[in-house]
Amino acid sequence: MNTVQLLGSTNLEEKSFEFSLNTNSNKSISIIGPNGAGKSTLLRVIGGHQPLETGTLKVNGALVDSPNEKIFIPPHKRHVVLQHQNGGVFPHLSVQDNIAFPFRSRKCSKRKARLHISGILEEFNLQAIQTRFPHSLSGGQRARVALARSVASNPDFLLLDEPCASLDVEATVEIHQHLRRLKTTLFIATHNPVETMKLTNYIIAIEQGKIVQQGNLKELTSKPATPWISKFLDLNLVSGKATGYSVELNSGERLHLPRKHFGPVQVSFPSSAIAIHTEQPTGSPRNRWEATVSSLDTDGDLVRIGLNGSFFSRATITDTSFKELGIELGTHCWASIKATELMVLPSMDPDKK
Amino acid sequence: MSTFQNLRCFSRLNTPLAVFLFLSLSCGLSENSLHVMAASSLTEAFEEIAEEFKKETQFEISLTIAGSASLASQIEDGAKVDVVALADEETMRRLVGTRRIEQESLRIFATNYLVLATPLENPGSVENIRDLEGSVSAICAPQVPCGKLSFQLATRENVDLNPSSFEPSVRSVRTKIELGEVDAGLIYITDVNSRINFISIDQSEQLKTNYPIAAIQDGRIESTEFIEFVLSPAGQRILEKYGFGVPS
Amino acid sequence: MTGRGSKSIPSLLWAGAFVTSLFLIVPFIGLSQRTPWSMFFQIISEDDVVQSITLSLVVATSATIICFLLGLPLGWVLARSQARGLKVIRAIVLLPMVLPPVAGGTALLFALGRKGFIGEKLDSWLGITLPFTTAGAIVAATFVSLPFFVLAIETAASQLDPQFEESSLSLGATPTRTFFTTSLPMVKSAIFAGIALSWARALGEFGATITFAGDNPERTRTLPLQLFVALETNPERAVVLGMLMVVISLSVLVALRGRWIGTQ
Repeated sequence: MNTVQLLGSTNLEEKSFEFSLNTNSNKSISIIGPNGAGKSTLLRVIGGHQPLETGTLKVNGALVDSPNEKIFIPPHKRHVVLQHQNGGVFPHLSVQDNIAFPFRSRKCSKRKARLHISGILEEFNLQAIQTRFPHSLSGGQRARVALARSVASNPDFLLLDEPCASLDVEATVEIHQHLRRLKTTLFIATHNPVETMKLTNYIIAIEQGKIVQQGNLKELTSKPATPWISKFLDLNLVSGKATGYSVELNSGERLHLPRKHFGPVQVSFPSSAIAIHTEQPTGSPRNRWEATVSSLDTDGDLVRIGLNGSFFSRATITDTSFKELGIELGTHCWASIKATELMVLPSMDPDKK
Repeated sequence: MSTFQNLRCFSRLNTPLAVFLFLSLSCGLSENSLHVMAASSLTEAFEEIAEEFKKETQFEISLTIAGSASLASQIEDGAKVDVVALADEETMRRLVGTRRIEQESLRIFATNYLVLATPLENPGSVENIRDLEGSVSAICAPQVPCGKLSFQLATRENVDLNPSSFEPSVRSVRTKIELGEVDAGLIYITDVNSRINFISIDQSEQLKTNYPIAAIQDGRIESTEFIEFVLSPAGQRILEKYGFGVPS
Repeated sequence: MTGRGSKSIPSLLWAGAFVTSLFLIVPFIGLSQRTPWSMFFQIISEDDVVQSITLSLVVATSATIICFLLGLPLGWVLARSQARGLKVIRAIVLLPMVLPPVAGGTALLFALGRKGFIGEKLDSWLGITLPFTTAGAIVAATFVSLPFFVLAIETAASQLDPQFEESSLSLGATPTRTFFTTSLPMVKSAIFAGIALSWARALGEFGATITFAGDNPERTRTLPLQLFVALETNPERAVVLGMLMVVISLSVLVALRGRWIGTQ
């Protein structure tokens, strides 16, 4: 059972942060929020690089930070690894020495350390480049090294600060593959909604130094506490196999794509892109499917509608349109979306969601 | 902006700068000033002489003090100076050889001799020149007059001078003694002050050194006047006040 | 005068740079002209010159080693700590850089000389005196070179991206281990630059040496002091020694190749 309980505050460069969270036993948690909101700070508090000013932090039930009781476990004694945005790969060590670092820090001999890491090198596909130095590697390779090194340390928690922020699409997909395989509990600070939705099941949303909402994806997407959250999570995500201009979703449904793609892909589109019809629609949008209204949530002038069809999706329409449509829970309707509204990204293997 | 335009701007800025430079250079070459170089043992004596000379003749003396050897090098290299007063004749002979000296102006104006000096508490219990052999001592470097005289004296007394340090001038020897950094040293009788203890050396006065003064070739005509002043009763009185001996 | 594609430098700056370069190069041309090159090796092989060369190398190298051992912790702390007294310490540490060396030597004399407030104790308790000894020359040289090393380290340590040290700690390395395996290797070039600068500075030290350690031919007469003596007795030798020191210093600077303060 890997849990983090934090109730406290800290200050950094004249900005104050207040955190109150309990991760229960979730295994992958994302931390979302606008730039400067405090995502990194939260990770640093948990990692031990930013001490609390008030409050307590318990990791796996053990008190690691409590200013009142003068308890502070320094980072090297916590079984938590904080991976910085650029990976923090040591430029003066080769790939294999980077990965061996956690073992050497535990006073393992060089020879023994090299034995330990051979499995990890294989796991992360790094054998071919194990003697090279970071400056000669691509961004994606460096990211793999960073992750491999963090994993080599065998922590209880892996705190990742925007792990794919500076990577291209292919490298991002690769890293996501590795992350999904990991058994370690993950905290991922991210500004990529796809990452949030694909990799994690628990979300902590931070704005202006405070946690404004925490819960699972469903809770946050159906009842977002702030406009920023609703905008951030406003994304439908489905996977399938593309064969040219068309993709067959895992559910069997076919969607038309704006450009040719081949192989496993991920298709995403915002909720505002879906048009709802009470009768089978005609016109240019080539993607149409049948669905039943499964949820309705008002949000000011907008209405969020959950649509249960061959795949689940969310649509957002104006209150006026909603009233004109006259639909309600359980109503059968049609949804449509233009091919050009679909964003397609390759994925390594079909995702089972 | 073309280079030409740049240079014009630059020269406009530079006019005040040029004026400043000219003025400061001129100040160094003011009308009523005689440049005199004197050995460091003559520091206080010549400062007073310069003051008195100014009172009498309205002439400013610009005094440069340094070790005799250093002064000689500067003159050899062409320093613009009017009068030079050194602490030994050998150095003056060297200068005469370079033909920068007006030989007719050469005179001996004072004499000096060495004494043994120790810090006031005399921590090394130094009593005579022989005690120099085993003690922590400072001697003038052999290339300066005081140093040459020290070695001459040591040879005559059969003492093996093995100082801990060769100082560049007699004043720095005195400083080391004053500070207690050495137990003994050899300095001129004229350099003795209340902060150190001195011990006369038997018959050291026989090994006294003559101080020569001379005018430099193509120097100001007032040089002769100055040398005369130094040799005059007024000048000699000042020198005696500071412990110098009368030239024979 | 701007080349194709090069950043445009105003011609005014070119003019200024040219004049300044002349100002700096001309004395060396003068020295080089007066150097009796045919006698160069003969003169530097003379016994007392060889003794000075050896002494200089010993003093400069010893001083540099001490600078490393003392300067590394200080430079590091100055870069990383927010403690309040440090601003003052920093100013004092840089003082020997701007102080006339003779003033530095005098200060050393009053502190560590035979009658200095610490030197006195050294003398009476341990029988150690520093003036007139090679150790004293090393102290004088260390005093003037230390600021260079401290500055080099401080600059590099403060520019070091904290993410690497944090990663190291995060991965389980203790702060001590982090310092030796992560921080130090990353400031390697600054350390080398600091060592080279300190060594060159120590080699050329005159004022503090002659004032504090004195001029003792066997024990403290380093090359600069030997040159000073030669100026008055043997000008030919003085020129050769001057040229020798220029050659040594130039080699150090060329080896550094512009890596002054640890930035690449």
